[in-house]
Amino acid sequence: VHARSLTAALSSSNRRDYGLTTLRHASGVISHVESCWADPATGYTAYEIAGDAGLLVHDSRRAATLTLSTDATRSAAAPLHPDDDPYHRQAAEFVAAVREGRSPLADGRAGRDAVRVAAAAALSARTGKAVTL
Amino acid sequence: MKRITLLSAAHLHADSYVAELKGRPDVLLAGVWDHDAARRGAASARYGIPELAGIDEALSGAHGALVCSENVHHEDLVLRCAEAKVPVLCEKPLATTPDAAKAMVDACAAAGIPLMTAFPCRFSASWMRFKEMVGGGAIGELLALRGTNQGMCPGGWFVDKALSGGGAVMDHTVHVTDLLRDLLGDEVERVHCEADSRLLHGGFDDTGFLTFDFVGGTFATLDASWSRPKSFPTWGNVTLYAVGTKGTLEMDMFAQDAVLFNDREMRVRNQHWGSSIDGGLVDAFLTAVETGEVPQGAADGVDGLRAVEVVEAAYASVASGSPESVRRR
Repeated sequence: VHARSLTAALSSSNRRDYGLTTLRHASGVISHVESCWADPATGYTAYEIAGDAGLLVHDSRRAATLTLSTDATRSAAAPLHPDDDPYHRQAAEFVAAVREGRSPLADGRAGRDAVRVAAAAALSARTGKAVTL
Repeated sequence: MKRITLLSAAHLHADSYVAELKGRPDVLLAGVWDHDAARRGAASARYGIPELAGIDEALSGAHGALVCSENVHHEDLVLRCAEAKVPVLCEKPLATTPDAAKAMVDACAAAGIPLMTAFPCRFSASWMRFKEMVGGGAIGELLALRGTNQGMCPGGWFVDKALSGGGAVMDHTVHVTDLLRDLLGDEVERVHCEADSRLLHGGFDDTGFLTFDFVGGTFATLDASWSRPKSFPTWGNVTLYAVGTKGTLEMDMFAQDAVLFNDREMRVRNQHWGSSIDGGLVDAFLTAVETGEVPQGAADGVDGLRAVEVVEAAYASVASGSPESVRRR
């Protein structure tokens, strides 16, 4: 895990934060994560997945199905039916896991592993060195 | 348990309807009938449902039927459903002529069974929000609209007028016409259509630009062309741009995409991740099967008929070169 961040580099009074992390996974895959609290506009998500036979890209800013323009505002949205909302699906997965007595899709271990990576990124940003997990 | 039967798998939308029905725990897919034995066998294998040799057998004991045949056969099949008193969801366009569509509406009304037209765009999450926003005054008073339903040419029987009744204008006029009627609560009074066959040179209309004058004075245009080339990254689009006194609202119904660049096929394809539109359509039909009535919000036979009347006026305009009045039955 190798990372840089504004909170690590600047004073804690900095209201905007921005972090860049590069990961080398056990499988050999390399990934790069941008964590942004710096854009004044509404949040968005984007990913790019490259393989040896192709590329899959997505950017929520280019996936708006509704764009409203008035003198006062310009806003965009990409509505889903309530059952398809990720929060709804997450809750449904938890209920199903409890009913079926199994681990949910994102279980405690997944949460713990993500915290380990985040802590390693914070450490790397402070020390400037790469961290191996 | 609702027994649903599939009458023909000629239309590619059958795949999606069947997939939706298979996801419903209270539905039993009774089987598929098709006048084309090879297509019937292929559909039976693809869907993993029984092959039914005759229409009578297909309708016997069925609680509902899906008609996904070539357009010209819709009339016969829906009339058979009416005779057997089996509620029916018919693929669009409801028929190739308003007289045929009217006969279907009347027969189902006389038999006391619900007839639904497959206008799934009504169940798009973005369309529902679009209607709410326009109805809630987000752009003030609605003045004019511009729509597109541009697509790839589906080929096959779609370009054989004896089976389809027409080209792009027949295939792609009805969806946006239905959305405009649903939004405005108004009927099309007059249609102008400029059409041609210069994209694919196939002797069928592949290009159609329609102008609608509504009874209440709103005007709108629609590009119904099969103008997306074979290399286009998706099948096509449904878009609507509304202009009001206080602003504009634009919908691109299928913009919820990731893009896959695939070197194995040397293709770029859009991967849609938005909510299904066919799920709401299928649920509405199952409600119709249960209650005996087409539920609020879904398109019934009259909605299908009104769209076919607009298609008739469009082709009349192509022939005359002038706007033509819509003749309502």
